Amino acid sequence: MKRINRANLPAAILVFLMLMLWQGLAMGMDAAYILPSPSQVLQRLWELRGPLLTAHLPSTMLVVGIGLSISIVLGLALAILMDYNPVAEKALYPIVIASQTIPTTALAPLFVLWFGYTVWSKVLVTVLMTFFPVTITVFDGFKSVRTEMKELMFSFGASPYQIFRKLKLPAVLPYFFSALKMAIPLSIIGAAIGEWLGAQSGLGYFSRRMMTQLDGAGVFAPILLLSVAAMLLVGIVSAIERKVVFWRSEM
Amino acid sequence: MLRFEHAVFQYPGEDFNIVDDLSFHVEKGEFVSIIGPSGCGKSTIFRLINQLLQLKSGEILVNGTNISGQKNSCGYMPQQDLLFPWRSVEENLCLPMELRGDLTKEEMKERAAEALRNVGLENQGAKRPSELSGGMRQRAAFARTLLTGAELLLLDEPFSALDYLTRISMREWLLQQWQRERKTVLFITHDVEEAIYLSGRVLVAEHMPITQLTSIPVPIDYPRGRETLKLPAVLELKEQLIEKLRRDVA
Repeated sequence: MKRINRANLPAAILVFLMLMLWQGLAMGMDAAYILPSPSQVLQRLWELRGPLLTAHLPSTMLVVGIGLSISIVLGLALAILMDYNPVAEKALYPIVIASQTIPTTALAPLFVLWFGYTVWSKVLVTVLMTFFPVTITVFDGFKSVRTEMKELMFSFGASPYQIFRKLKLPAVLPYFFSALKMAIPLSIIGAAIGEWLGAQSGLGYFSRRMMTQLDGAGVFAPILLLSVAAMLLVGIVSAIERKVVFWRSEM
Repeated sequence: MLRFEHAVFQYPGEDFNIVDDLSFHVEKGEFVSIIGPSGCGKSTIFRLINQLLQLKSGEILVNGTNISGQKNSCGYMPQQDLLFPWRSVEENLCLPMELRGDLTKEEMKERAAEALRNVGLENQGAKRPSELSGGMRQRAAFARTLLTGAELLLLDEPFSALDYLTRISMREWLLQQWQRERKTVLFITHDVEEAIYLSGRVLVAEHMPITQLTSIPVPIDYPRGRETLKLPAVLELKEQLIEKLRRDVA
């Protein structure tokens, strides 16, 4: 634990210095509706803790949960399909890539037209932003399975399903966790954008409402909460990864 | 045990047959090495036997039956150990048995433990492959090959990645294994000394494409030791083989 702390020390110092700079600038400007100081943001977060933690955070996490689950299932399904069938790869791969050139944020108002202020308009934004890294990373994982190992399995008389189940699936796990760690922050950003554009609750919605009230610190407070949520989730996934993929460095 | 009958093989995209009208055979219980310059198609012969490649014409028989469409006709051991890092050593050994699916978990564990004992890795089953040394990993890989249950073992330069001293002891170890298991071994190497030390007969791939394998018997009895390599007959044979192979390279 001590060593980790020491390794993070330069980053911690830098963050602290930047926060001090921010605090100094904000106090100099003295215009909290434009640039609230970090201490003001923290204070506002504390004042708003009731509605933020009991209403808006759960609402956003619901979107993140649904969106992330759909993205993982969809991403895995696409990756497996493209790995299994070369025709599917040729057909789907360009579409998956092209889907990332669509400015999701600009399309999101359309989703509000389709789904109204329900959870599904936000879920759609989240999925569109999140399924891509899952698909591509897991697919790359399948492609990187060593040919010699597949051949060894084949020489042992393994069926294609056995090769998938006993070789490809375990071998792709490190890639899956990398995908997950990319997908979590993206899904939180996606949910917040979706809420920003049309919602009745959620941290993104709350942040927007504070903006209309020229409450600078109130805009930042939910965003701070979103970042903390993302870091916590990634931390949990990393901890699970260390337990499950103990052999990562040996591939 | 193993018989090639007028085997012809061509790689897609090449305009010649790399294996052309090749016939040879290996008797049951023999230890036979194939040597030849690199790139001559030694490994192609192995890939044909374990059906990673399909013959253009001719046939390959194992135990008198055509291997085409048959599973588990041979046990293959590659150059690298290819132990799966997410499995323990014991679980790695269970892999070929799991794939066959004819044994219970307890039976598999029992056989894996027995195989580990036989290859000198007793009580190492719970370890991760990364915790073993290079030589130990190759022994585990050999045990895994034995557990395919195949009578014919194909060993593709299994010691070439090991350091010199480990390689020497692994050779002696392999001969003991072969004598105990009574399997038929086909061994690929480019190391002439290794081929002579191990085999009863050396097959030389003299030409490319491979149209024939010249069979050269090794005139010494088993068991063999390190001093065997100093016998005049062995030294002479070694010179003869090196001369043969060099001519082909030039």
